[in-house]
Amino acid sequence: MKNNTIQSPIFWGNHAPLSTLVSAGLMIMATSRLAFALALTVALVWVNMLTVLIVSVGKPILPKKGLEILRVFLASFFGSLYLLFSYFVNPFLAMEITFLITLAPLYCIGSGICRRTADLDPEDAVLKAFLEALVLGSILIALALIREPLGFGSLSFPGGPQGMAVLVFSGTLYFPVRVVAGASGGLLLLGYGLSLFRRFKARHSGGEAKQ
Amino acid sequence: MQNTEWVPEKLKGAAFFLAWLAGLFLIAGLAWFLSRPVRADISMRNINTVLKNARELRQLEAPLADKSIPRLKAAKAAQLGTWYSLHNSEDRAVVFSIMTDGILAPYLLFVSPRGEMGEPIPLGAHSAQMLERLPREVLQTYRKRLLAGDALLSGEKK
Repeated sequence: MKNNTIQSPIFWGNHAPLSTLVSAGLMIMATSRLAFALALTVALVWVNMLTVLIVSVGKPILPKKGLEILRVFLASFFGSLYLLFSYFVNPFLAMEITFLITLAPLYCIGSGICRRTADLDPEDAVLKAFLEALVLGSILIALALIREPLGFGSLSFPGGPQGMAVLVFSGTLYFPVRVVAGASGGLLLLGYGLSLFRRFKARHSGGEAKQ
Repeated sequence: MQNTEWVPEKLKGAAFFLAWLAGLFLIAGLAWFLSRPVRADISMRNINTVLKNARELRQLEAPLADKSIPRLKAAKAAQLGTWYSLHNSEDRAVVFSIMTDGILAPYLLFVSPRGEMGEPIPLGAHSAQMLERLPREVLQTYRKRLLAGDALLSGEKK
């Protein structure tokens, strides 16, 4: 059952993060700070990869009936383990993004990655899960790189006793635009991101049609 | 004959499914339950480091719920935050968090035995930046509710 094809393009395809909008909540909440986006990217990769790995490797020992429900529980289980480990490593950051981490399993299930990779080899399935989580993670990081400097006038990285190390931009001519840091700023950027995505997707599909 | 084979097969499937769910619940539940003292210890150490960095002499000693307070009262008081006793003071400390835009920002407040509250000390770097952006009314509401929790722990009706 060798299947090396990864059919749908992960950035412009029908299951791309901006195409399905399963992850819209994450894009609004997790992009206010770079540290949150980085920690959540690791959570998404962890949950996606482990869930898909168990589902594809453990196929013979998984029940046929209720498999959909079991996938939800598996993803939530790995999400909860990630949160637990985060509390050991960086308790304040874990506390701050608890709600966001609980959304990572929802993204994994909502994107339908387990269903779509059911017929692939375990290596291909895990690779696809990794790439899809990474694409969403990159979008989160890119948005955070715009929102945090504009909204807070700083850049943060996970670590340190206060949960994150913050580099504050100072200067008399610089002041943060607070609206960008809030949910309204996230929605604005998401809107711009969506319109860009549609434009490039149309161009990409036009190019494919010509070929 | 077919019917008698079908029923155990269906039951077997259901039992298999339930065993998976129970296994996942058990592993996750045990991991969270058994690691609770370690997590509490790590959190307390981190809070004490933040207090030290803020040049605050008072340090957390232990969660107050572990001491001689009736369980029901402690549970009611803990609805908004975790209460701690202090090493070198008669005051109490409460750690609570305020949610803004899906992010929980943790803070600490010292409460004197007479029910006087200090200013909130931000525990995270994000909380510190959020403190100046929070509406005063929100903080006031939290303070009032925490005072009610403190009254419960003191055994006074305020």
